[in-house]
Amino acid sequence: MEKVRYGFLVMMIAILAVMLGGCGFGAKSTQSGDNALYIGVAGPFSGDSAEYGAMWKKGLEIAAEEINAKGGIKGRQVKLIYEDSQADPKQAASIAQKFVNDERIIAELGDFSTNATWSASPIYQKAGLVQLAFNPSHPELTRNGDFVFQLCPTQADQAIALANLATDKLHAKKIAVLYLNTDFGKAVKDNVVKAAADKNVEVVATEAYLPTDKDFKSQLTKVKELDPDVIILGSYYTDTALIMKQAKDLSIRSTFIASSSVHSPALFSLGGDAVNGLIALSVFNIGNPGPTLKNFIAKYKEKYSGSEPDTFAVQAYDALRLIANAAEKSAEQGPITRKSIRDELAKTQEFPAASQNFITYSATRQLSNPELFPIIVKDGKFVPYTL
Amino acid sequence: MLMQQIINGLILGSMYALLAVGFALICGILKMITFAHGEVFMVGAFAGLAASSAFHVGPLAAILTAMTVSLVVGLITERIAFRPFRDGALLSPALITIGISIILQAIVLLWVGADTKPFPYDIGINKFTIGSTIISGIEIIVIGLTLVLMVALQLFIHKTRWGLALRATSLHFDGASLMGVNTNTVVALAFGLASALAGADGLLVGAYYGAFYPQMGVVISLKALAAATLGGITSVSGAMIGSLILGLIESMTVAYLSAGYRDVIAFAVLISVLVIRPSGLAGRVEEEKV
Repeated sequence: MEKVRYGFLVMMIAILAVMLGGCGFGAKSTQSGDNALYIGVAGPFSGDSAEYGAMWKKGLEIAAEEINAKGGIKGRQVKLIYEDSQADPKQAASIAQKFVNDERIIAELGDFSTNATWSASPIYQKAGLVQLAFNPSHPELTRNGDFVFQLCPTQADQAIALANLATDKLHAKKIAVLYLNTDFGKAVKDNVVKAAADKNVEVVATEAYLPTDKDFKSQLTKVKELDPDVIILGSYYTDTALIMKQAKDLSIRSTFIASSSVHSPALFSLGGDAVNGLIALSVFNIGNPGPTLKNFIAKYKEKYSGSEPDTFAVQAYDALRLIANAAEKSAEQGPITRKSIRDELAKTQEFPAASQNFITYSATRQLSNPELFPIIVKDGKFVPYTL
Repeated sequence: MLMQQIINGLILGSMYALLAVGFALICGILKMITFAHGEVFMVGAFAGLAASSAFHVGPLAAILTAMTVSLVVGLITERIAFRPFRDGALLSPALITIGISIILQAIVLLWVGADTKPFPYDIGINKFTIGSTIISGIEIIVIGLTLVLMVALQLFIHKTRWGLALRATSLHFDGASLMGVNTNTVVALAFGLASALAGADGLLVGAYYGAFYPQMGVVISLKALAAATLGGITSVSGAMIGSLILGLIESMTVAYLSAGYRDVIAFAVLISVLVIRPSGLAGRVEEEKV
């Protein structure tokens, strides 16, 4: 017995050593003399939301290549440091500590979810490091301080657009809301309910579900009983695909409408025929792409064997370019510091982007006049939905 | 709507059942818990998915592949986590299975990537409508297959010699060994059966929802554990009953209360049952013989 225990102990130590050693090599090859500008990226690269982090990487890599191919920022290359937060608030906070203590990092991109972002914001704010949370759409995302920036049109804007689609275009009298029980989903629900009240549309049901849920039959059966004309989803693309598949099994006739988070080609491989007819909002204009977007889509298709980018990749691409732009402007006036990046970023005006045609930041560091483009799924593709 | 919700509950219950009986087998014999069961389920699911999509085998071959791969993983788990500690610490095996679960999730994540994978075949086509209740062909298959596997398991346990050996070892480990039962083989058999069933369940669940991802075993194995505990952790038939009850409670809570309370009510019921009857609904009350 003793022999077994001892051998076992040695084995566990060996495994631990390999794992720690492996971790050390992957992270950052610090050549303390190099001139590069480092940007930290905190997001989900494993765990439940890892698929979205993977799309981020795709967009970020293209942006980084573009910037560096043009010589970087005044000759300084841009390098990304990725840390896996699993979109977990606790890990987001500890990564924030790590980033603010790494003096080479001039700005941070992330996190994926509203609550992970909020948990890290005070740390970034106190240390004076820009936190560009380009993904979350909560209306109050930037409330923790003036170093926190947002890129996605907020749920306040999206919900109004969703409610308008339901009433003006689809003439719905009754709607139901099915939403993720997270800050994001609840923001969708709250804003939709408010917008619906303003338009005198009856909200017959609001049903929540957990991020780990895959079975929605019970919620859908309950909603089916109440026969809404439109069901509005506060969901990402994976759950949307599953919800619509199960709704099809139950022969639910309502039209589904969802926010920008479902705009991804992965929706089709997961949802198949069931997602046809889904109406959504896009943050980028596929019907009439501007030059920046066209360029991005072409590069994306070339690099990733013909696949189309989604919301997550496009916003990541824009986010890095925004920081690079702020760094360029800042470098023209003096040394690049964390504060100068923040100031220049806040002053961003009419920046040509892939998502919105031009990005201007408002006083609350959110998009001024965000544009949302309605899209509909037809025959397994997203096409513009003309109002 | 009630009939529809009952069917929803039965489907959920069937999915839990195949995992729950695995817990009953393992816990019944070894009196120990494995936290890696959800990952055995997940690995089997991916094995079946790979067989279907990469090698285009038929459904039967896919299920057999899933069961075989899970069987192997389960036996390895038994060998690493449980056998060395037969006489030793009570907690070590459980902790080791936690580690195995993390490792398996990470390996699969690195291998196949983070994105949720769909099932390549479209299976939910045939729908049968009885009144206002709709049941699809795949749901009938899920319930039917679960029934078949459960019946086969019960027959095995009660009508064969190996089943007898299983029951004997579960009642008294050392006593059975003294009576000439090869307890090592019996333990491996229990693990193998549990894991094979988990693998089959993995492929079924993945195909039914059309979603395969590395975390797919986490929540369902916890629910299955709860279901098995509800029914009596040492009793296979208890695990089946507990699973169906849990599935029905979940869907009824969503239907008549609110979806947000689903897990709260389910686990509250579990706790209440355990308070009133600690060995679960169908569990054996073990007397301490000096």
